Order: sequence, then C-alpha cells, then structure tokens
Amino acid sequence: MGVVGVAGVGEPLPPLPQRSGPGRADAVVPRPAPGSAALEARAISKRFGGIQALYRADLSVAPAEVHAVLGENGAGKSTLVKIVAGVIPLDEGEIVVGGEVLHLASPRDSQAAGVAVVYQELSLIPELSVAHNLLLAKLPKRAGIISMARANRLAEEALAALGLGYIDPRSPVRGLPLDQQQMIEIAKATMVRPRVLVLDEATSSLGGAEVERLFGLVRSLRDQGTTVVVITHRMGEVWTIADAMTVLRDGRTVGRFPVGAVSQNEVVALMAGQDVRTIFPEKPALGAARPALELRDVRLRPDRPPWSLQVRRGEILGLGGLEGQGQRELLAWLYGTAKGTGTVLMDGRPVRVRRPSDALRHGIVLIPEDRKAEGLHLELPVRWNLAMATLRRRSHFGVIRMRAERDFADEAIRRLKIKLNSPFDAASTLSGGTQQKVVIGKFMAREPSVLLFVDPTRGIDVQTKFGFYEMVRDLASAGATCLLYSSDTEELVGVCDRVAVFCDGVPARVLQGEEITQDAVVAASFAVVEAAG
Amino acid sequence: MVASGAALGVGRRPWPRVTWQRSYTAALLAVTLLALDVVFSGGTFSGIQALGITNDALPLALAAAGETFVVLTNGIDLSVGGVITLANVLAAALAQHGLGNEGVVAAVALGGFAGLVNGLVISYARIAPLIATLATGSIFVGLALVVLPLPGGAVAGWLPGATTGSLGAVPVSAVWLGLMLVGGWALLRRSQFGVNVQALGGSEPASWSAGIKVVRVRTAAYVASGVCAALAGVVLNGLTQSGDPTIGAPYLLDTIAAVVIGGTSLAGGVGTIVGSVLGAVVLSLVSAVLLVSGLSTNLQYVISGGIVIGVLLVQMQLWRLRGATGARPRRAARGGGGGKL
Repeated sequence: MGVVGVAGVGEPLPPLPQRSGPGRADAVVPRPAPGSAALEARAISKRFGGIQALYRADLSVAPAEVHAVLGENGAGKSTLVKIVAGVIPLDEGEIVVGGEVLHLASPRDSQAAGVAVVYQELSLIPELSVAHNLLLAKLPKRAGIISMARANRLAEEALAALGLGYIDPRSPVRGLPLDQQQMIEIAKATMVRPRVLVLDEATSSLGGAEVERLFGLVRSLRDQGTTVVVITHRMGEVWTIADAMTVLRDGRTVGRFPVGAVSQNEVVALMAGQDVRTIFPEKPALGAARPALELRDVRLRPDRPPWSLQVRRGEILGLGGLEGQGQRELLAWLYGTAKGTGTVLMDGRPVRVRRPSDALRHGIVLIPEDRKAEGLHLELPVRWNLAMATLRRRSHFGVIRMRAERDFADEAIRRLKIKLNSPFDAASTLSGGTQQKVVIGKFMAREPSVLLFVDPTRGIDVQTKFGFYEMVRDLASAGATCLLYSSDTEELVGVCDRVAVFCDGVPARVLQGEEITQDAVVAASFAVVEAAG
Repeated sequence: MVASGAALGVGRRPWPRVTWQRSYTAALLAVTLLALDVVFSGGTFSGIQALGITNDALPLALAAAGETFVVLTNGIDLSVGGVITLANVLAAALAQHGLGNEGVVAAVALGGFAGLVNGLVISYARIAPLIATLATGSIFVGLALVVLPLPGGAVAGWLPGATTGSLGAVPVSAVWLGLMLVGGWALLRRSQFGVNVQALGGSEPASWSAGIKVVRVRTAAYVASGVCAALAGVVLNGLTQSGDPTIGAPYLLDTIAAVVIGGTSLAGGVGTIVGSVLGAVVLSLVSAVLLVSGLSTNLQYVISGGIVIGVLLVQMQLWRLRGATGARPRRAARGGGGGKL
C-alpha cells in the first residue's frame, strides 16, 4: 500500500519525493521570469469534498507559446482549466495573466483579462442558432434592437476565417454533428481575439481533417502572438503542436519541459508516476480447489459452437480480447439480464438464473460499469448507499435499526478501505474509484460467492485503481470467485489468475500463470481466427 | 402534425421553422375553436362574441406572456395568481379614494417588486422556484386580503375604456393582444434580454461561462412576470370595475396551461410569447365555444386539461422525430489508462 502516495484524508498531502530522471528536467527550461509569462498559475490548491484535486500546482506559459498540459484522468488538468477560467474558485494560490494578479469571481473576469476557454464538455446552447452562440453576450444591436442580419454576417465571416464556411450561422446548434459543434466552440473562443486561448481536450471529438485544421489555426494564432494552452492526453498531439509542456500528476506539477527535451516514454512514466509492476497485488498460488463456478455448453451467440469453462474458489478470471467479443454478454447472462444457453453449476449444483433477483439469491453479484447511473444514489450519504441493498436484514417489522446500519456501514468502510471524511459524505463527492468501492460494499452484505465485474476501473485514476485491485484480491482470498471483464489489458495481466481471451462469443484461448503477458493477451485477441478454429 | 423535412434536417434556415412549429399548435387550435364557435352560433360571428373572447383572454394572455420569461429560464412562477389579486385590489382600493392613476402605477410597481423578491429569493437563498413562488404567492394573497377584505373598490375613469372598449368594430383588448404578439416576438428574438433568457434556460453553465450575468437575467425574468401579472390584475380591475381578493386564484393554473399550450418547454430554453398569448386565446375560446354550444361551461376545465395533455403529446412526438435526426449526441467519456487493445 505504501507504494502509492495517497495520504489519509483530512491532512495536507506531502510533496512527492524528488524523482530521478525526467523529474529533474525542470531545470532544462528556465521558467519565464516572474511577470514575463503570459499566463501563470502559482501554487494552486483546490479540494472537492474528500478529494484534493490540485495541490500547489504550478503552470507557467511564455507569451506566444503553445503549451501542453498533460496528465492522466484525475490528475487535475480540467480543474486547473476551470480555475483559470474563473468557473470554480481556487482555495489557495494565484492566477497571473500578463503580470497582473487576477481575482476571478466568474468567467467574465477571466474573459476581461483576455483568457478564452474551450471546455471539454460542450458549452453551447443547443436550442439557439450558431450565430447566437458565437456572439451570445455581444450580439450586434442598433438602438438596443438586435440585428440578426449583422449577427449572421459576423458569424459567417468568423466561420469562413476558420475554414468553416459550410456551417450555416442560422441553423440551431442542436442539429449539427458533434465535430462541427466542437469547431463552433473553438470559433466562439477565438472570436474575442483572446490573449490566452485554452483548449481543454478540444480534439477528442474531432476527426483527422478537423484536427489538422485546428492545429493550423493554433499555429497561426501563435504566430500572431496568442498564447495557447492545450490540455490533452493524446501524446502524439503534444509533439505535433506544442512548444513546451507541463505534466501533472495527482494534482501536482511534476515536470515542465520544452517538447524536444524528453521522450514520450519518459513523459508517460512521469504521468503514471510509478512502475506498473508494483501497483498490482501479489497473486497467491491457487491450490487445486474444486470449481466453484462451472459453465457447461454455453452459447452466447447461436451460430457459434458451445464451450465450457470452470472457475475455482478464490480465483480471479479475466475476460479479455477486443471489445464486443461477448465478454459483457457472458456477465450479463450470468446475472440474468441477457440471453444465452447453457448450464451454470455452482459448487456442483445447477442453478437457473433468469433475472437479477435469481442471481442475487444464488449469491451472484454484478458490479455495473456505469456506477453513477446504476450503482449509486449520488446525493445520498455513503452510509445509506452501503446499507441500501440489505435494509431488510437490519429492520424490525420494517423499521430500520439505526445502530445496526451504522455498524454495518462502518465495517464495510473499514474492510474495503473506503477513504472518506465522514460516512455522511454524499456519494457524489467521492472519486470514481472510491465510488466503485461503495458499490461493491453495498453488495458485500449479501456475502456473494460470485462477483462479476464489468470494466470496473474505466475512468478511474491510477492511485485508486491500486486500492481497488487490492480489494478484489482480498475478496477472492476470502473465497469469492471473481469474473473480471476489462478493456485494459494491463489490468488483466496484473490482476487475474487466468485470462480467457474472447472472440465472437467464445473464449478462444485461456492463458494462465506465466503465460499471461500483455503481448500474449494482445496476440491471442488478434490471432483468434485460428485459435477459435 | 406537419413536421416538414426542413425542420428536421440541417437544411437551409431550419431555425425559424422549428420555433414557428411550436406556436403553430396553439394557432391551429385557436383557428379550429374559432371555427367551432362560428358553427355553433349558426354561422355568424358578432362583435359582441369577439369582445367577450378577447376581453376574457387579455388578462390571461398578459400573465402567460410574463410567465413565459420565467419558464424559458427553466423556472416557474406560481405567484402570478397572488400578484394578480394584489394588483387588482390595490388599484381598486386606491381608485375608491380617488387615486385612480396612482393606483394603476402602484399596482404595476408592486408587481415588479414582487417579481424582484421572487428573483432574489430564488437566486440568493437558492430556494427552488416552485416552493419560493408558491410561498410568496400565498403572502401576496394574504396582503390582498388586508388591503381589501371583501370585493369592492372602484376603478380609474379611463381604465374600462382602455381595456373593454371598442375601436369601431375592433375590441380594444384585441388590439392589445395583437401588440403583445408583435412585442413578444421582438423581445425574444430581437433583444439581448430575450436571447439571454433563452440561453439561460438552454444551459445555465454554458450561459455563465459565456459571460451572461445569470442572476441578473433570472431576476429580470421574474420581474417581467410580476409586472405582467400586475398588468393582468389592473386589466381585471378595468373589466370588473372593482376589486376582488379572490380574483387571481383561477389564473394560476390557466397561466401555466396557456404557456404549455403555446409550446414553451417547461424544461426551459425553447418557447415563444406568441405561443403563450395564443394559448390564452385558446383557453378563452374553449369556454366561449361551450357557451354557444349549449353544453355546460363547467366542462371547460375538463376540456382545457385534455388540450394541455394533447399538446404535450404532440410536442413529445415532434421532439422524438427531431431526436431521430439530430438529437444532442453525448460525448463518450472514455477513460485513459494504458494498455488498450
């Protein structure tokens, strides 16, 4: 556990230990002298409920520079952008634009200072026309009356200047394809001729040609003296477009380099912050335990041959392969929400699961992928979320015994190592990984013997992932049988005792022990045709 | 419904057509009901009939027009009934003391103040509009009972003529309705305030990040609603030539119904004042048609309710058609992390 640098909640986070290698390359680029930077964020800290999103993060961008901000999910990139934009207030630190310390109470303040932001989530108003959106707060007026003719003409010119002449300024934004909406967003930001333009994951919904056009635009803006900050996790883009970069990890700035000074691998290592090997819990040797879960003559897709598989008590079986090869269908079938044929035996006895209530009765639990929609009541306290699935067990004639509920929830929080300020925190204040733990905690009271995980760590930051893996391993060691589907091969390799690589509804290859390597899983995924025969 | 292809696709100028579509429902209903009215009254349509309908519609149309601003911001103003009552009794009571003109001004100013209170309570105390305006509405009704416990009072000398009179064959109230149609369109389409209101209802975070002063716009919408409701109360003073501390109550639900029939989305962001005014006319026509048809006018609530549900069903259908071609696509939020295949 000591591998990860996450400290207990409630105390300030210690600074990261000084790293060797790229971490020191900070010295390679001298920061612009104080005051000469176009945009500077100094020692920014920001906390959301139990999560320290930023801890004394620094960003310093020279004038007329394209500066990339890199980091994994949850590293604090978007939070930093929102603070610079004045959308959320900072806890500590200061934002300096053009040598002037800004007091940002709302986006108007940052706009007044010449900062324009293109957000990750589209910030257009779908029911209004393109022209309305582009000019929103500054529609051209004569004697207080809006001239739509002039507004449309202005919008048309602005769009044409960006090579978007094919977009009709009169059409409502709602009807336009996503990539066009994204380009309109960028047009909106550049229309005010900003001193600093911030693009937050602006390319994530664009196709190749649009990305090219956007980069052309960024270059020409830079050449005209605009400072551009690009937030991305597409590594390649950084080397294409940026002059310099800042790397964030866990809310801290961990490096600042000119683009030529480091390799992509070095930056990846810096972003991840730890050697991949070390973050997975150890795999214990599994004895020749009897199969706890046996699947016989399973057919998920009618035109494919039937197959069988056995999973032992305490085993974590990974389901790998390309996306959409039947892994999700298998888990859904076992949980009674998808069709399929075959026999399921638990401890040698056949069980029939036709709906989720059957599955729960037999001790089969599915941890859904979309924890926010399917697993949690976001506004309710963690304690209630944990207790919710098993209320009846702690009730007398329908009245919930509060003390039993408290003890139950506290026990779950302790056992699953759920990090909280208080059990009364709303579930929405937790990070993704912690939320996922709460979902699992909710089902643990049923003492499930089979746990089905559907891509459980998608969108969860590295630190929390580790805690999550450790928990899954603990559950397995305590006797649970786990089936884990993941789109992350690294995770399958690191966590699972065996990995069944799926192809077209059939586990084409089952890897175990030393066979499980990232290369082997990938190879098996692609070499499926021969393997599946 | 005539959901034309251009309204659905990305064709030329789809934007004015979509909005026209929404108020079109109310226009169609109004025309149909008017035709029914003519049929039931034996193929004639007298000036008296017209006067009855437009006089009946005017106060409701005013309240509905004001409510439209609030609904467009994704709020709701349930205090309109209270404001109508309070403005009505204030104007009547002051007129009785010979302060007719002052009464009208005071009533309208009070409506604006009531809206300001609503807006500030909602913006700063962060109380949900539904509850906040329900509570303030109750306060306004209570104050009205203090001002004028029993029906009575008087009216400014010029007021009846300015509301219930006729200009030749044309009812004055019809002229007011016509002006509201034009003014309502201009306000929403040609003023920054109108655009801001729609933007706020469309997406509050987006409006905020675009630099719109959200609190100010929202408060202004409630002020507009308060002023309009007060005007409705003053018009009722002119129509009845007296004040009545119970007069506003039935207007609350009719106001919301008119807005909904007019095609404004209760989720905010889309809608028209034109539609709301037409919606008010539709509701007045329902009782007019019942009157001439010989059926019990008590059926009007049943029919109005049916119309509201019918209109919503039609709109949902339209929305679905639109959704099939160009609904807001949601961006797939894919997690990072290495090792993807």
